[in-house]
Amino acid sequence: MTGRRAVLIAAATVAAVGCSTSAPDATAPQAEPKSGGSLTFATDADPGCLDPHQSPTAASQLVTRNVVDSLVAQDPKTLELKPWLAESWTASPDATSFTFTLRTGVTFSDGVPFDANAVKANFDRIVLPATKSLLAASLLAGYDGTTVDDPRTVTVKFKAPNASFPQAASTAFLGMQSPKVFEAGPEAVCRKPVGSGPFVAAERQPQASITLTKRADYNWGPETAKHRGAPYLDLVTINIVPENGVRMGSLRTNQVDAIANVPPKEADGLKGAGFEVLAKAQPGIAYTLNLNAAREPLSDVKVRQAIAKAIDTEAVVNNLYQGKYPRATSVLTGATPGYASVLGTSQFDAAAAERLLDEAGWAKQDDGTRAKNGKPLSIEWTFISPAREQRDLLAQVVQQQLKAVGVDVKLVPLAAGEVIAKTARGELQMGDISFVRADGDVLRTVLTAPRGGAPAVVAPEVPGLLTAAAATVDDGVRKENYAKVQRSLIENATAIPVYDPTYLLGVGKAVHGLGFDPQGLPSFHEAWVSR
Amino acid sequence: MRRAGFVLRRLASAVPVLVAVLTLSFVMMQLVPGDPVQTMLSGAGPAPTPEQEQALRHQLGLDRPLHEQYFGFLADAVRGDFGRSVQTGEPVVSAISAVAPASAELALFALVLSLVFGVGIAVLGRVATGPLRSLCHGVPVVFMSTPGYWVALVLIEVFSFRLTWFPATGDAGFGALVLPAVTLALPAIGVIAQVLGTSLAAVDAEAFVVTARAKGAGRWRVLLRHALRNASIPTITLVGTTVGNLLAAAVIAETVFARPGLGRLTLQAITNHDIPVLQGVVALLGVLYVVVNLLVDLCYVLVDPRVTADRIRD
Amino acid sequence: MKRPGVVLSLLVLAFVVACVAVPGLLAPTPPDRIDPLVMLEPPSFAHPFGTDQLGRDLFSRVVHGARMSVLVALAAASASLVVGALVGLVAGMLGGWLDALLMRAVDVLLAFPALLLSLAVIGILGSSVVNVAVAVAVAGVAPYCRVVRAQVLHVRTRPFVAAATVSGVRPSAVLVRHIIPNAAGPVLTLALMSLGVALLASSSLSFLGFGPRPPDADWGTLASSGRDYVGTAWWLTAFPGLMVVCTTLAVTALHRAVARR
Repeated sequence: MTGRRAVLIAAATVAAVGCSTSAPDATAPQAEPKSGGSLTFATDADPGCLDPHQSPTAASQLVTRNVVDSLVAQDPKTLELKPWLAESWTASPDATSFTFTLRTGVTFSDGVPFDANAVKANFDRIVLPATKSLLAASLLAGYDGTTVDDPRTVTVKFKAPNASFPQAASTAFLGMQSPKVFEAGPEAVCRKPVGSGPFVAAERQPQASITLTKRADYNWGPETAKHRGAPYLDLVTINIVPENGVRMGSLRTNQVDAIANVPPKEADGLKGAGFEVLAKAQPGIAYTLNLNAAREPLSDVKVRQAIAKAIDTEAVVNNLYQGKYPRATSVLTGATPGYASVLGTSQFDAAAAERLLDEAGWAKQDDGTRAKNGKPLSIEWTFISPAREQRDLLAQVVQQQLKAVGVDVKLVPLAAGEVIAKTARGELQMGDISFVRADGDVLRTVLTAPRGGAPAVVAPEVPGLLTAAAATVDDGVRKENYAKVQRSLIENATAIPVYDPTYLLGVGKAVHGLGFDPQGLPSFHEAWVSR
Repeated sequence: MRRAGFVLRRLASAVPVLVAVLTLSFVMMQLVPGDPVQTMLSGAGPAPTPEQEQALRHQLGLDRPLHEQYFGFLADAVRGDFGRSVQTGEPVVSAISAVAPASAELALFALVLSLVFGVGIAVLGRVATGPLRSLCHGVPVVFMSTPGYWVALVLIEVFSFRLTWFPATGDAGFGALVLPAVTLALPAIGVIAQVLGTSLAAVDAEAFVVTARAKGAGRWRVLLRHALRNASIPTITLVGTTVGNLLAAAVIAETVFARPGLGRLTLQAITNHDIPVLQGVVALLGVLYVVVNLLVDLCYVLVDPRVTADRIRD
Repeated sequence: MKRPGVVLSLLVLAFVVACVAVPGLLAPTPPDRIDPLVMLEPPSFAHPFGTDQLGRDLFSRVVHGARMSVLVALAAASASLVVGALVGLVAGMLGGWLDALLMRAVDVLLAFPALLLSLAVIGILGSSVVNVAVAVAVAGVAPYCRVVRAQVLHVRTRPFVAAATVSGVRPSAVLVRHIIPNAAGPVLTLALMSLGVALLASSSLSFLGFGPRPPDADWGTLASSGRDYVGTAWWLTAFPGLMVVCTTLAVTALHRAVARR
C-alpha cells in the first residue's frame, strides 16, 4: 500500500501546480468552535433520490455524504486514502481481492450495529439489478461477492482486477447503510437513507428542503478530519433554490447562511460585500466537449482537429468564468490522480483550423460558411438543459467561435434523460461532459459505459490501456496508461477539454469551518455558527 | 329536496366530462413519441437486454391490446391509481399528494387576494370620481398584460432583496407566502375587477336600480344591496376558471420562488417526459374543475334563488 | 373613448412592427456580437438597455427578439382563429350529435388552465418554436369555437336568414352572404385580445425554457437569461419584460377601444 500512497501524493503535488485557483479547504477558524445552532444552506439542484447506491448525482451526494460513512476516507488535500469505518485493509497482488478490518463500536442511526455482515449486505445490494444503481454498481464492476471472515473482517472479491476499488470505497456511492432499510425497497431508501454518518436525514419536503439533524453519539469521524466527534451543528436545513440570482440575493440579505455554486461573475462582488467565497477544484473529468468520430462529418480527423483549434478556451474561461474556473489542460482535471498535462499551452489557432478545413475539402463559401459537394458543414451539439455552470452561455460562445471559421453549430438543449439515451444509441454528434471522481479510473467509468455526452469512439488501444490500468496495483503503470489515454483523446481530437470545474461556495459571515470533501462538495461535519 | 335533486343532476352531468378528461390523459400517453419502456430503462450503465424490456413492458401492461389498456387505465384511475413516476419510481398519487397542500395553501391565499382586491377595485371604480376612478379602470388592464415571471422577478428584487420585507424562498410561514401569492393574484385581480366593473355598470342602468335610487336610497346602499348582488353572477363564474388559472400560473411562481407545488411537479414531469405524473396532474385538474364548477353553480342558487338548474345548463 | 390611449397604443405597435420588419435599421449592432470589454454594463448612452453577461448589446437583442416573439404569437393566434372558427361553424351549421360532441370537446379543453394545456402539448410534442406556437394555439381555440357557434345560431334564427334557407338558397351561400359577415366583427375583436394573450403565453413558455434555441432569442428567453442576475443586473430582465408588457397593453387597449365601438 505504501507505494500506492507515495504515488498518490506525487499526483496531488502535480495537481497543486496545475491548478491556478487553489484555495483553503476550510474557513480558517477565528475562534474556538461553538456547539449548537443551525445552518441554512441553499443548493441549486434537487437531489432527487437520496440513496447513494442508486443516484449518480452530485446534488444527491451533497446530502448523502453527511449521512453515510465509508470504509475508507480520502484526504481532501493530499488525496491519500486513510482509515474510516475500516481500520486497515490489504489488496491481493492481482487486485482482485481486498480484505478490510473493521472498526468496532459503530452503529447506524436506527440502532443496527455496523459489522462485517453489514458490509456484505451493502455490496451485495448495490450490484442487485433491483437496486437500479446508476453509478455505484459500475464502481463494483466484476464484483464476485463478499465473504465474512469474522464479525470484523470482510474480503471483497472481483472476477477481474479492480485496483481503484479502495478509492471507490471512499466515495459516498459505496457508503455503508443500515441493512434494515433495504427491506423497505429502493423507493423507501430514496426518500430516507439510514447511515452511520454525523447527520441523520430527518425530514424531507419534496422539491423544497431536506433537514439533517445531529447524531449526538457520533465519534468515528475519519482520520482525515480535524474534528472526529459529534458535529457542532444541531440542525442543517438544505433548501433547494434553483435560481442562481435568488440564491445569491438570499445570501446577500442573510436569508440563508451559505449557498452552492456561486456564479463566477458574482464571486468578486460577493467578496467585496464581506462574504467568503471558497473555491475547490473538482477532481475527475474536466468539462470536455466530445466529437463523435463515428458520424459524418466528424469522422474526418482533420475536421475534428480544426474544431479543436477553432475554440479559444482561454477566452471562454476568461470571459465567462473570469478565470475562476481554470482552463483545462487535459481530459482529467489538474486535481485528479493520474492527471497528465497535455495542453500546457492552448491549442487555439484559428488560421490552422481554416487550413485544416480547406485541406479536408470543406471550401469556404461567399457567406462565410463552408460546404463540400453542396453539403454545408454543420454539426449538432446536444447538451443537458437546464445547464449548470452557465454551460448554455458557453455553448453560445463556442458557437460563435466556430462560426468564425465557417463551422455551423446547431445547439440542441435536451433533458438529462434524453441526452443519456441519445448517447447510448450513438446518435450524439457533439456532446459535453464533466464527471467528479478523485481517481484516474474515472476515465474507464466514462469511456466504457455510455455516459451522457461522453465520446462514443476512442482510439483502438484506449480500452486495453484502461483495463490494464485497472488490473495493476503498480501506480507507475497506471499513471503511464492514463497519460497515454489522455494524449490519445486529445491528439485524435475526439475530446476538447475546456475548463476544470470548480465548486464556488458562498459563505455567510456567521459560518465557520465549512469544508470540502475530496469530491469537492461541501461537508457540514466540522462547520459551526457564531450567533 | 329540489336542491338535492339539482346537486345530483349536476354530479351526473360531471361524469362525462371526467371520462373525457381521463380519455385525454390516456391519449396523451399514446401520442408521446418514443417508447416509455426505453425511457424508463435509459439510465447509465449497461444497455438493457430485450428480456428486461419485455419484462417491464409486461409489468406495465403495455403488451396488452390497446382497448384493454384503455379500460384498465380508466379502472385504475377511478381507484386513484396512476402508476408510478418514470423518474423517481414513486407512486404518482403520493408524488402529487406530497406537494398538493403547498399548492392549495398558495392558491387559496391568492384567491382571497384576487377577490378582495378585484371586488375592491371594481367597487371603487363605481363610487370614486376623478383620477382615482380612471386609475381603477386602467389598473386591471395593466395587471392582465403583465407576464407572471416578470412580476415575480420584480417583486423579489424590490421586496425581498432591497427592502428585505419578505423572504424570497421557502415555504415556511406566512411571510414566504406573500410574494408568490401576489404574483399569482395580479392577473386574477385584473380579470375580476374588469368583469365585475362591467357588470356593475350594466346593472346600474337597469330599472330596479334606477327605481331604488329614485326612492332615495343612498349610493352605497344601492351598490351593496342591489347592484353588487346582481352583478356578482358573472364574477362567480369567473372564480371557477380563476382557481385553475392560479394553479397553472403557479408553475412560474413556484420556479422563481423555489416553492414546492403542483406547478413545479408538472414542469419536472414535462422536462423528464414523465407521462404518468403528467396524467395524474391532468386528471386532478379535471376533477378540480368539475368540483369547483359544482360549487359555483350552488353559489348561483344561493345568490339568486330564481336560478334553476335548467337555466345554468344553457 | 380615450383617444390618447389609442394613439399611444398605435405608437407602441408601430415601434414593434418596425422592430419586426427592419431590426437592423433600429439597432445596427449585431445582437450576437460578444464583447468581453463591456460585460454586464448598466444602461448607458452607448448601450441604452445595458449589456448582458457576454457583453452583447441588450437593446439590439430586444429589437431583434421582437420578430420571434411577435411571429410566434401571431402564428398561434391565427391558428386558433382558423381552427376555432371552423369548428364553431361546423358545429353551428350542422348541429345534431356532431355539435354536441364538438361542444363537449370544447368543454374539456376549457376544463384546463391555458398555460397547463400548453405545457402538456409541449410535453407531448417536445420543445421547439413551432411546438410553442402549436401549444399556445391549442390553448386558445375554445373561445373561438364558442363565439362563432353562438353567432351562427344567432344569425340562423334571424328572419331574413330563415327565409333564405326556406326559399332554397344553398347553405354555402347563406354562409358566405349572412353568417360570415355577421360573425366577423366579434371574431376580429376576439382575435385582438387573443393576440395579447398569445404573446404573454408564448413568452412565459420561453421563460420556462421551451423557447427558441440560441443564437435566436425572443423576449421571454431574454428575460429568462437575466434571472441569474436579479439583484445585481436588473436591466437584463426589466427591458425585455417591459417590451412584453407594453406590447400586450397596446394590443389590449386597442381591443377595448374596438369592442366599445
